[in-house]
Amino acid sequence: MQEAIKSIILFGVLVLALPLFNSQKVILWDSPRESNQADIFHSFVFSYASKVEDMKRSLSTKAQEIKVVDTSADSTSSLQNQALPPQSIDKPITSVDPATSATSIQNQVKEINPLSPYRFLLVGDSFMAVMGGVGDILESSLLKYKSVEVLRVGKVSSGLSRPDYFDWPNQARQIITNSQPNVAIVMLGTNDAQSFETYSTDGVKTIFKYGTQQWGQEYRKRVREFLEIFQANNITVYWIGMPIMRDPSYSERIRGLNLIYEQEILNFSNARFIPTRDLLVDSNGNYASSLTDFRGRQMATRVADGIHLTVFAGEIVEKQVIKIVGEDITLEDKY
Amino acid sequence: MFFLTIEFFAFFFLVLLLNWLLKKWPLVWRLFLLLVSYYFYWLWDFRFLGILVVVSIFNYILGLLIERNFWHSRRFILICGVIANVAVLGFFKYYDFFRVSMETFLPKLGFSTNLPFLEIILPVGISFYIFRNISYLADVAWGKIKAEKSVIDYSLFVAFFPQLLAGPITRAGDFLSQLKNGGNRVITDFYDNITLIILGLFKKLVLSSFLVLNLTDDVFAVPQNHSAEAIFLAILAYTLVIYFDFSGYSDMAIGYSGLLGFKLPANFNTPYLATSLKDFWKRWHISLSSWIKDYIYIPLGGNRKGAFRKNFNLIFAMTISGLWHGSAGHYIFWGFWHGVGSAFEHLFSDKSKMPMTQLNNAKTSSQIKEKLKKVFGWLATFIFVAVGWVFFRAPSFQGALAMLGGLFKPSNVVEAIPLLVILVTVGGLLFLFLEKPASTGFNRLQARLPFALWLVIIVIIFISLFNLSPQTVPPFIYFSF
Repeated sequence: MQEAIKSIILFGVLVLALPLFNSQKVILWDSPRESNQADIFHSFVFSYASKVEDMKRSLSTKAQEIKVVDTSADSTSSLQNQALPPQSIDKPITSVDPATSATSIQNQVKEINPLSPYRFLLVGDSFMAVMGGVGDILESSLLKYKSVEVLRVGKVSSGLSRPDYFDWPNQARQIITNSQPNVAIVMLGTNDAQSFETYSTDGVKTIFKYGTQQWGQEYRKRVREFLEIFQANNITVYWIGMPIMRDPSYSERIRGLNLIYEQEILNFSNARFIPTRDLLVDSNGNYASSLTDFRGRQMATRVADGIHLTVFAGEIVEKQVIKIVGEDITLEDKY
Repeated sequence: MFFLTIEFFAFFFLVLLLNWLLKKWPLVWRLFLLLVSYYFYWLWDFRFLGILVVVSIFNYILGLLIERNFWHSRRFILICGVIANVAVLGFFKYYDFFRVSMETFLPKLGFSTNLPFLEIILPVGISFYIFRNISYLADVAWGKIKAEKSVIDYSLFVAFFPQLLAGPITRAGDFLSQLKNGGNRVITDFYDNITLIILGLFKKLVLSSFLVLNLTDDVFAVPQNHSAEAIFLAILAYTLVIYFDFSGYSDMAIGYSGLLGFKLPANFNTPYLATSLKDFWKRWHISLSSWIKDYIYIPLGGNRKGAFRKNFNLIFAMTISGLWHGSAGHYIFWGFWHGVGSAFEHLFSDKSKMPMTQLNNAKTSSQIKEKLKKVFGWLATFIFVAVGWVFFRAPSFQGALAMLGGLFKPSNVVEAIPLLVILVTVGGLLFLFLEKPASTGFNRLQARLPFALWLVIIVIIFISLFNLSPQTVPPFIYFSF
């Protein structure tokens, strides 16, 4: 029985110690993933780690403020900031103005004429990073053309919502400096329909709850800033929209994100949006778990999670991308 | 809830506590373990739980009918039971493969098919628990074990949470006896179990995850965009990844079970040190390979019906093993590859038996020659197995050929492979040789430490492992089988 007590104590200590020392990892691991079922154990560990993380941040913020007080002697402002509670923004998101909805994207004047050789940069989340998306299929497909080089950089569970996990703007800047691409294909968003927080330089935390107008504004700003990086480097951007999803509420969130990308891209003459939402739907425009292939066979479109794509569906999206890219760029077969 | 998440540790802490408290009341204890196992499974998808419960009760009843020789048709009930279990597995796992295959081939023969498309989600662990049920029915029918009288015990044998999702495929005879009279009252090999959990976490969280994220996923996805050197390294790394991933899971399953007082069979025994394919299959996924041997290879006649049938049975059984992993052609080919390799090995070793003895007698074979033979056997086995994994891992058969072709094609791609990736791959290879002695040494070290110091060291190890882990929960490869 002695060993049993030892093992009980060990796991008791582990449950207390691991979220304390690995709080950030617990929070990162909570990002959307398969089988992420909420249960009491998950809730306990997550809320414990979140509290630890908040505590760590407040400690580091206090340290920063003390430093400011020592050097600037402007103690009142830092004290005021310290007294401010975290801001929480709850106003509901307003509906998107249909006038600005980018249905007339084809009519936009675009300056898309990168010169051969085409150095493609493919960036994005799991849809670019691993099987179950478009990235690997698209890369293979592009490599069949003359004068094409491809660099694919995908990061699972990444997006523009959580720069603390993966900072796409910074990463993109570095990749662009190192590899000098002239065409970029972006596919992001799977993990972005979530609340996020920002910290101002004086340590004030602002929580942006998903679904509020302010969340939309902040997210738009991030999309815009991301696109500006490509614009500043004279890179043509193709932004692949997310396809329809099985879960209706998740699918609706994704539709909202697509609209943001589509609208923001209108402001950039070097960028085009590639809608994919209607590619994987049935005749009524609803989510289709299967579609008919050219032989007349019913083929599955999604893997078990109802989010990621089968190879068959990945190829449908890839063909659409190649078609749109091919309208601007002359892609010649190698063989 | 994955084995390697902290929320699992919280769950396990509570289970551990109640497990040892409730042992005084065996019925309550067994019921408790069954309920927590069902809760564990329910967290994956509550719809799957219904299938698990129905399959368990169905096989429990069949076991009783077989033992009572109901209607004097023991064999008939066994066959019906096996067909029903295979049908459940087949429906979830192979329906779409079957449907697409029919729609491809039948029109060529002038027939039309109209099988409906069904969006089927594979219940996690179904391949493992269906095999557990089939082996139980066969063992009862063959008189190896008595049918289980308690529906709670039988259901727990099928659903015991540490082995539910990806094995080991425990046999009823080994497991059910551990439930009687409140089971074991002490943890045997306590430090071994702790070592196994740490080893499993290290292999999965650190080694396997690193190589997957930094090398194998990318290269296998688009081999044509990588240099021959990167492809070679990726093949080598995937050989390590599949072992670290699956044996890491098995280590943890055995370790967690051990802390609850259960002894599960070893599933891996340093397989990459094998000096022949026969040896490899005695060391790799032992619970599956012994299942295939006992319930497919031997009933087909094994090696009792001549050389031709023996080799045919071998190839057939290994191909079934490939099919068990998935309905795609590349899995089937992987099984066939091993089947043909094993058959060739048998043919070669059968023929070489006599001459070798004569050579030994003639003292022309020195110890050095024996050692060289072993080294050659190890290398040949390792290369054969590694090539097999290319077919296993690649998204398709063509993808596997592209990987292997990429090894020989003169490549104009200059690719800087990060030094850390090379170091982890080489380190992983060395780890294969060090794993066993290091584990034994660590067990001894733990036993010598006073409790407080032991606790601090183990907790620091866990914290370090999580620090080295990737930024997302790495899924286990074998959960999709």
